[in-house]
Amino acid sequence: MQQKTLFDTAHGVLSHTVLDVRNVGVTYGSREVMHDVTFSVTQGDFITIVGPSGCGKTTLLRAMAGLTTPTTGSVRFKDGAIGEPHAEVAVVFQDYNRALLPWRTVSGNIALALEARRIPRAEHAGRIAALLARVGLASYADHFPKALSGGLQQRVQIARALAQEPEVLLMDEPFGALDAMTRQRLQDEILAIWGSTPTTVVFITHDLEEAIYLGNRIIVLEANPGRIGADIRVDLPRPRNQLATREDERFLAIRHRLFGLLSSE
Amino acid sequence: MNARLAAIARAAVLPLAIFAVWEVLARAHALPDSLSRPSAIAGALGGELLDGSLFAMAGQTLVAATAGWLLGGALAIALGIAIGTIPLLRITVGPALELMRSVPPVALIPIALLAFGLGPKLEILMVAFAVFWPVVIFTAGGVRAIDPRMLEVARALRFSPLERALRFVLPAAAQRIAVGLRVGAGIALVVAVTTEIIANPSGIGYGIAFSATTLRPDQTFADLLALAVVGFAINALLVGGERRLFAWANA
Repeated sequence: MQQKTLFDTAHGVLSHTVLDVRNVGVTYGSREVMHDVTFSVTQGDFITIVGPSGCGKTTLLRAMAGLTTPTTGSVRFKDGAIGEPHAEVAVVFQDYNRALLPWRTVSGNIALALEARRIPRAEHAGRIAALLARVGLASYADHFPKALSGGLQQRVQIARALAQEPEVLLMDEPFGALDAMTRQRLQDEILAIWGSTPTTVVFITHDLEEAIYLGNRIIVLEANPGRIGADIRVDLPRPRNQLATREDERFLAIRHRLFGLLSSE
Repeated sequence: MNARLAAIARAAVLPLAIFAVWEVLARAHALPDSLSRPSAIAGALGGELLDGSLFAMAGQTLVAATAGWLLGGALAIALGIAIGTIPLLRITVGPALELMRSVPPVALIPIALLAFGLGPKLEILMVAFAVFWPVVIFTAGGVRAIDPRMLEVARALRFSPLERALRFVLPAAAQRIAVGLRVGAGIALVVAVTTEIIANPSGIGYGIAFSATTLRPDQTFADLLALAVVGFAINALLVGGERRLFAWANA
């Protein structure tokens, strides 16, 4: 399922930078929340960003989404600077209950992204059905968000983001509010979705294990002000497995390293 | 169904008891003649229903009240959205609105009479004026109460300002706007009837004034009863409409 050939930058085979974060700093009033953050996101990659609360994870993601303008530095998508939200960059917010429109059904919420892209009405039903099937919501098409559990609501938001057919999917602690079992299921589903599309994912979390389990690469942010503490390559085999991967020695080694980095604060 | 009948029966106990006592006291000449009595009122009501005059009067009142309600409501929704969206407008127009709002609409009848003369135009404009305030306030409040996250979703999806207003702002504020319109409907009926009593000889208001001055209190009470039924029905209709329209909120 989640087989995806990744071309290592070092081998220079095929690697395109889709998002380029350059010297990004954010200051609110006299408080510097982010200091000189620089990294680039390779096409097709799955990057996780982990850090303690107050490290500016969400600020960074908002800057990448074009929802916040950095005080210094810039975020570039391919060749253009991002000042406003970009059509090729979709966002999944943590608070699904606030990001879905309560007066629209599950289908209607997904249709929103199609309307935004000016997809002809006649194509909506078919596209929505395919997206619903993909996130396991086929039988909930006509439900209102309020009638769904948190896990199902977050699937709706993911489906809406996929309806944008973005090159980059930015996810802001999307599973942070879900229970452990639901969270693991959704982790595997997002990996499957990523594996079956050419999408690049940037995934923010405060959960160390989630960061290792999902990512090819982990960017560790330190707090006050937010800055990059480490940039770690995850060479765990795919497809990942909730039991085997988490028991892998390399997984545990990274976990130790992250724990050390984040508890030394 | 039986539970519903029982509820109606319970609700009827008090009015029936009052009518019974009223009838007895009136027949014993313990009440002034100007208070009439339920049996005479029922007769007058029956007569006005049979000759159709009650329907004609209620129709006149309803048409004028509805026209004013729609006019005032539409203007108020437009201004309410503008005030709720544009901070500058809120600061500049807000205080003036508060001042205007504290003027009882009925107090404007004399000046409105000079400006528009007797007739339905006066009544419609009076109703529109009175309905305007609650709807403007509820609309602006509803627009301001929108979750900022939702507007961020609109931004992330790159909708134009107009699309944002139609897809996000208006639906999000719709529940409060509906409450404003329902409050406005109650006010519309009050102002319509008041205007008819004072300045526009038509509708139920005129019926009430005319029957009282021609010493037919039975007819006056019959008209009042009809007015109560109309008001009750309007409110029930709007509450029912809101429940259907906003079913998603109770999913």
